[in-house]
Amino acid sequence: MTTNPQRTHADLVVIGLLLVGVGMAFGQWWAPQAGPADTALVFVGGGEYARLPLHVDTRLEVAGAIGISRLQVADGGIRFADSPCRHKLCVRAGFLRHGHDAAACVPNRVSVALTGGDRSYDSINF
Amino acid sequence: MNAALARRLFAPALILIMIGVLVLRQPGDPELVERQLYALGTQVTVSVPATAADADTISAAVGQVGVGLATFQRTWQPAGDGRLGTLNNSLAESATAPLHDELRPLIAQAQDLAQRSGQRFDPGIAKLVQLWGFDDAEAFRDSPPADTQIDALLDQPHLLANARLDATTLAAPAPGLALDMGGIAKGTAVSRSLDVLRSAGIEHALVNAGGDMQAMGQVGRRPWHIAIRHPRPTETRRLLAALDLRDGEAVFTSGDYERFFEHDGQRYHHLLDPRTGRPAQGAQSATALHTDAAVADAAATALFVAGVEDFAETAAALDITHALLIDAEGRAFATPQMQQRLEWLSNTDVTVVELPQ
Repeated sequence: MTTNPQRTHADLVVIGLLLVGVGMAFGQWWAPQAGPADTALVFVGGGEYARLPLHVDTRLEVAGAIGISRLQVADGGIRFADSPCRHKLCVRAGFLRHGHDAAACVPNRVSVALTGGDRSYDSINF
Repeated sequence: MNAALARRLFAPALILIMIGVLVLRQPGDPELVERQLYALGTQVTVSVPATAADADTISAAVGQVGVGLATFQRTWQPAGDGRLGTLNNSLAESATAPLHDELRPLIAQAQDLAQRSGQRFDPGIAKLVQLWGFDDAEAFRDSPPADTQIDALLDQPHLLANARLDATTLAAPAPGLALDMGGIAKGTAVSRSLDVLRSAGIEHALVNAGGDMQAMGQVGRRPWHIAIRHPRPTETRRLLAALDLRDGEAVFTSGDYERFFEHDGQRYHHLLDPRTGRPAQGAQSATALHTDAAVADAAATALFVAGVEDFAETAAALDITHALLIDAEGRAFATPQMQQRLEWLSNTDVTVVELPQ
């Protein structure tokens, strides 16, 4: 039997495909799975009130303990656009976009927590 | 196989082996099942690896956690007719008041931590917290109270460290002491929530109450992987550092960004120095890691009040080996053990501070 020790084009194609496979495997299993959150959970008075997909721009008015909190979903994030509390800490939190991000209007007992997306960490301390 | 064929197959075989190794080594972390509830005036998230229990068991157990937290909150509310409210009402009238068995262990622990921290943490400041309006999110002030009002309260008993505890009573130097356990009770609440989950047969879970948390077990074969949020986050700098939490460890952070108002360009936050009756100066946040969540909770407050100058002394006094402080300029100060555990995620100037022996 004779063999050709030279690499053929087919060999190069096979090697190329395998390298792509390795890259995909790394991307799937090892690369940090950081990314924007996909869903906002809205709570009123401790109970879940709504689930909002963050890819759909929308506005939601939520009746809480002392008035109406206005939530806005835009550009993959959610924010308290307005709330009836005095110091507006919830409004000042700005847009939330990442998994585990949360903001609350404590006086109005309305809170928002983001899920999905960034799974690099199991939880966030603050 | 001849040499030429071996040469031809070498590269593809090597790559196939690499893929095989990658596939076999893939971590295979279980999904986390998360349940949210609103308790203790904040968002509580219970995370359980999907392999640790089925969804119905988790939901039922989290329901029990919610019931337990509601009861806990009623017990420890500083005002009203709960156990602590009743104690505070009695102490308003008399220097000595009966101490209910249910309150005694945590109040005794709080007093011990108050004394060891040099009153940098002390729950005797309920009236000062009320004066500043930090006890009620809707009662926040727009401007700081008058110095005369603060000083008047400092002239009354306002330190649990100076009270006397025995088996059945709490004795203050004079009438007027009132306790607000907000700086330690969350730790106990988180710990008891894990107990509830454990009783339901769940051995791996993490309870996060308003950003403070304790871990039980692990996630699959790895520890719980968490991150500490930057005290001054921006769009490009959200997280300060990452940390692996081992079975039983709690990590608590006190920061000036949690409850505050601004007046004349100055931030007035809820972390009052019990010795001055005013918001502590010099820090943005303090983080403590400990296996007793109540200790971690109180220590985070004490370290914040201590600031850079008294950071090491306070950590040592509280037996906190893992501590981190971010000062008012955004510089980090970490104990050696904490520095070893942290993976910094932002460009931070870090000073390692040795603890006194």
